[in-house]
Amino acid sequence: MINDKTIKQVLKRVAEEFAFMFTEEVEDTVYEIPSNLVESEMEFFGPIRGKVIMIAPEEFCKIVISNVLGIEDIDGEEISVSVEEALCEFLNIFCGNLLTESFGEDVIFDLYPPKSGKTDLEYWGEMLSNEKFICVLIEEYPVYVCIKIK
Amino acid sequence: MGINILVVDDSQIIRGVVIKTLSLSGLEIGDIYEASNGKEALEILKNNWIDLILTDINMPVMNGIELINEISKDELLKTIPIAIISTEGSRKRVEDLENKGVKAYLRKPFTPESLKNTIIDLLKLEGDRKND
Repeated sequence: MINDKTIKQVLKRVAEEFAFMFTEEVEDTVYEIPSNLVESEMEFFGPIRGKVIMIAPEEFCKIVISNVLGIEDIDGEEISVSVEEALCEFLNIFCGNLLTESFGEDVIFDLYPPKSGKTDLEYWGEMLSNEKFICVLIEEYPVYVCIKIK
Repeated sequence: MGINILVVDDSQIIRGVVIKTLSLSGLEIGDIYEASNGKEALEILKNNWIDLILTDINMPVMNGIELINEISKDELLKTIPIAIISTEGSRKRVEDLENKGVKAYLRKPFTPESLKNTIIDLLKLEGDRKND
């Protein structure tokens, strides 16, 4: 089953292997809420059905683009990849790996393509009070993950 | 003459990293075509000579499995080697795809080296098949 330890382990691995970024665990769920947040979510179904929500600062997404595509000055170059799309792919890789790590390689899950958008502080505050989020610092940026099982 | 490769993934960042890896691989690459779903890929396949297909599974409009099903119905297209690049890790799914003609499966996140080696292996297989 999916548990907090596996979520953190997979998040760490995806950050390192996909985005070449290093992680640090945080004790408190809420670290510090940056103002420019991007939210991405995707649904999966198989033996269980659910949704994964990921929220991260825009700056984090820019570093993902920069590291993955090898672009040094992301603000100075014309980049066709958006911050929303970067988080979507980060989430997509995280979700697939999390399901395999949690349920093994003999189980098939179908994944829906992730959706993304920018989120505001009010919505964020509401989300935090209603849902259980896990926070990991990735290169000093807080990345929040919530798993909702239906 | 270089090999023409079709990269099918709804994520522009993945298409970007695949294309960058191919361009730095030292392999003799011809044209690289991009599609963001299976439907776009089929359109490109109808109009262009493609030597190798690298495709994701989880995509909107037409996913990778539907694309492979369509390709397998076409006598000419079904001879093109296909490698899956996906986040999904189910052994059963990989076996199902291998039964449909998929030659390689690369799981995200992948390293540039593993992508390059996958392509080299596929091209070797293709060469062996043509020599038989």
